[in-house]
Amino acid sequence: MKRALLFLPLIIFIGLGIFLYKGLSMDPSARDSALLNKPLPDFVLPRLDNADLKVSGEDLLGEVFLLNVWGSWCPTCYEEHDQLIRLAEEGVPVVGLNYKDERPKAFRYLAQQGNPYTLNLFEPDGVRALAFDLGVYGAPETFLIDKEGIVRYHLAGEITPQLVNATILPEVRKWQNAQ
Amino acid sequence: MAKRAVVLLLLFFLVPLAQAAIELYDFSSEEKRTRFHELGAELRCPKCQNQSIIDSGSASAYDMRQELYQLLEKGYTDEEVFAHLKARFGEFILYKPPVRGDTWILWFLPPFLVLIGFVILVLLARSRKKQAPASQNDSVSERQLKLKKILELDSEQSSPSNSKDSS
Amino acid sequence: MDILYLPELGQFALILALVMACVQALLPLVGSMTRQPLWLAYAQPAAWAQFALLSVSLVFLGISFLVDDFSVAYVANNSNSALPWFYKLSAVWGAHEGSLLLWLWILAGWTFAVSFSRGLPAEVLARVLAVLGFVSIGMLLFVILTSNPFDRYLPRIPSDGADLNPLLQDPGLIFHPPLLYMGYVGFAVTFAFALASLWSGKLDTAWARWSRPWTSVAWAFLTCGIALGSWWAYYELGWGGWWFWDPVENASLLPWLLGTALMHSLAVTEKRGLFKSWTVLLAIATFSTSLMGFFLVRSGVLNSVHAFANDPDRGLFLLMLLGVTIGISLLVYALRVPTLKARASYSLISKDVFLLANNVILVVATLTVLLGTVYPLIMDALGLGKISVGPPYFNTLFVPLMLLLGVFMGLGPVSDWKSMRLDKLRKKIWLSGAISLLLGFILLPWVYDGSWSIWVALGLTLFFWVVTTSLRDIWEASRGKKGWRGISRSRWGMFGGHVGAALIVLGVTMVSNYGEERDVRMAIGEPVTIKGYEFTLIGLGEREGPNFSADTATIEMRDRNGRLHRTLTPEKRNYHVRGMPMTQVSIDWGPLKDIYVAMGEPLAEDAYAMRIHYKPFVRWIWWGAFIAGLAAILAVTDRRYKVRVPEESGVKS
Repeated sequence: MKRALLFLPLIIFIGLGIFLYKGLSMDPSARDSALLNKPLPDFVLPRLDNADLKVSGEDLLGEVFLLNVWGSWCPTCYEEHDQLIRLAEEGVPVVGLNYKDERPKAFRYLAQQGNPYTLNLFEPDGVRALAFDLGVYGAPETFLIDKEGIVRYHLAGEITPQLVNATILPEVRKWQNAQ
Repeated sequence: MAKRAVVLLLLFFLVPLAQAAIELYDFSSEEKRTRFHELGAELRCPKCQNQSIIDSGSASAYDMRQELYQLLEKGYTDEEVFAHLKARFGEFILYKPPVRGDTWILWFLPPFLVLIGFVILVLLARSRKKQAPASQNDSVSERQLKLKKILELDSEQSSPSNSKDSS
Repeated sequence: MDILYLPELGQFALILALVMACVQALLPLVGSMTRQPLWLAYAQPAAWAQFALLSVSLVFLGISFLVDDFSVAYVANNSNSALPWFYKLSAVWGAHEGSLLLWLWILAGWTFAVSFSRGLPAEVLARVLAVLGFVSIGMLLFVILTSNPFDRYLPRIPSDGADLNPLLQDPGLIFHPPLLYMGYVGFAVTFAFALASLWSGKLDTAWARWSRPWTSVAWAFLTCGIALGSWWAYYELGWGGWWFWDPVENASLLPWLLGTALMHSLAVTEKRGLFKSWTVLLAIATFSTSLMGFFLVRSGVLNSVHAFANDPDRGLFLLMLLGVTIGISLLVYALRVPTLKARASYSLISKDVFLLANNVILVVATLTVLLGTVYPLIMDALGLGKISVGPPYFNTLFVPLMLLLGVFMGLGPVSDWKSMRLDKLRKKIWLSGAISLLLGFILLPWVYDGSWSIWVALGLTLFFWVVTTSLRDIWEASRGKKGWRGISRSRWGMFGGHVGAALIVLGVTMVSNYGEERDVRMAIGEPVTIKGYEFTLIGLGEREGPNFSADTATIEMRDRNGRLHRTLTPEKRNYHVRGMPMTQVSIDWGPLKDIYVAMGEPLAEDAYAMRIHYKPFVRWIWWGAFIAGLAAILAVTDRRYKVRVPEESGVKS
């Protein structure tokens, strides 16, 4: 009995080791959005192209769309821009949320890179509206919103071609065909 | 895997962290100022490598500080502040882990272990004391009495039914 | 010899050191199994050779830094031609690969020192060196295969380096890693002694006697290393904090807590022959937590501001290294530790039990810190979501544990070994208890601040409790036959260690409960009053440093009578190469309080946002730690460790 008890430290260590091993393949920073399967927060934001025109959540309801948080200052946004154009060409509505940016720089970005967005919301530095309520803390981040306005998918990071094929397009189709 | 790390690094336009950010807020009461610092220390900056929103110089920490200030000025209680921010950023930003089913071990194992540890200690000491030989503090007659008891015990134990190990 | 080939020579030296480590470890192992005592003799010269070779390696890396050899990738990533020479040298351990080399060199250094041990049987020494050799083999393989500091950037050599992280360009950071590593690695010696004992199958008290000085020295270094880190964070990071329960900080605390338990457990085992198996387990566990911390910091598994560059492939190698080292040790422990109980007995009121209580509390504290640190990882691995475990959790659980420990810190020194009558104990402690309660619980919280708080009361009571009981113990010792001269250094060491710990409690209590901070707008000529001092900004300026530009401020601090107390000069630096802004705080420090000023953002041409902290008694946290560390070193110089002991035949049980 006593001898068996002496193996306890070893067993505890092995248990810990298994978790540490799992931890090596996990990313301590990655996490699910708090808004997953919850409604898109209410908001009223000006448009990027026209400061006098305001857009609210209701205007966007009714169809499945992607909400892409971007800024001209964000290097990775340049990397993923091609995929956004591809998604737009596949018929997926992409709404842009221009985050902590300046209008002239944003226009230049769209002129140079192309504009896949059906419309762009403008949330500059100091304004805490939709991006803040979605728990956005950097760019790029992308959300998938279904017909009822529920957030169904969230990606913090670059949209890669593999991700488009494997996850994003299937999810979009899934929620478009739902109900 | 390394690629993922690189991607994450490129992901965010990092304002150099590690340095405290000092802004001036106009608090309507001293109590709100104190609560700002206390609650701020318990809120984790969503994108930093383990810093509270008070300590971090990043943009998202700045936003959260501004929000915290406004919430306090609006009269939110501590719980309401945490709930409001948790609804947006997830449990991750709360430095105090919740007390619920899957964190029971986290909160209650240590005090439980201390208790068990001390119980074992007391039991060990008691069992040792039972067969303790005479201590220096006993008087001569006390020692004689103890010696007599030990001798009696020994003669009982030398019967064949007892195990080899003394315990 | 062309200086440009030094990195290659350094690399060869590393590989040769690996060969030597193999000789040091394997020959005694084989010799012991095949009963060839001559093979045991290889351990010592192999250890010397390994130390010499690693010294060569380290020196050559240092020279590469000094001559700005940017063809060496590690130098290019961590240095710059404008970097002051002493930071070029400390950059050797500024990042992952170089700090590993330092770790290895320190291990070789400890092994070298241990090889000179006298009073040990030759087989025991050989086994100890062999175990240390195995540890070295593992780390050398890790360095050579995954983290070589001598890798080159060829053929395109960078024209200049990426500079040392400005946060590390500080005198405190020159010494912090070496001190820490001396501690972490030092516990490997006790670990080696423990495994050597298990290997030989003889678990006697001689093992404890041999291990004690090595443990105490390692503990002293680790204490000073952690304290230095805390102090550095305080004055360098600009937010006035000195401990954040960050995973890397916790990684250093684990071996410290267990090391403290180990020091005390060794005392019981040596003196009374009790708890031998428990002490062996502690020795294994202490070094294991050193290694575990090593892994946590370098594998990318946890989020930390301190973490080195994260590479999961290296993490896997390290985890395997960890698994093999700790796993085999714990397996050997389970299989070979004797289960016969010692014959000595003890009663509930005795130094033996109080020291064991110390162990219980410290081990639970260690488990608490470990649990809190890895719990987010466990929850995530189980798919239960992402939570954070931070200061609120650790403070809630750790502080009461330490307060409880403090109670026993007072009881331990004044109690007798083996058994003590309750009334005798009562007589020794009643006065201390009364004074502590009177001053700590009742009077001083009111006197100091005019308000009472339970945490202040508990902290202060504990401080007085430990100090008065320690004083009592020393005073009683002085009434012995030889008076004050007769008090051994070991005893003074205990006194210093406990008083140092009490001072840490004092500092923590006061600064946590009475510390304040204010963010204020300071304009030139407009005074601001805080805590009875008047702060006036009298000038703003700029200056150029060797590798940075800075905005400076000059602030006059006057006391209640208008007398100039101190001129403070905080600045905000911008380091050119990395483009990182850094706040350089200005501190008016003293035994009773620190006043700490940090520059924020400019608000107007002549106004700045400033943060002013009031930190009462904060210095005692680090002074207390350094006193405790020095006391441990003092204890080791006790004459009894110098007395030659005739060779033990290992019969004593």
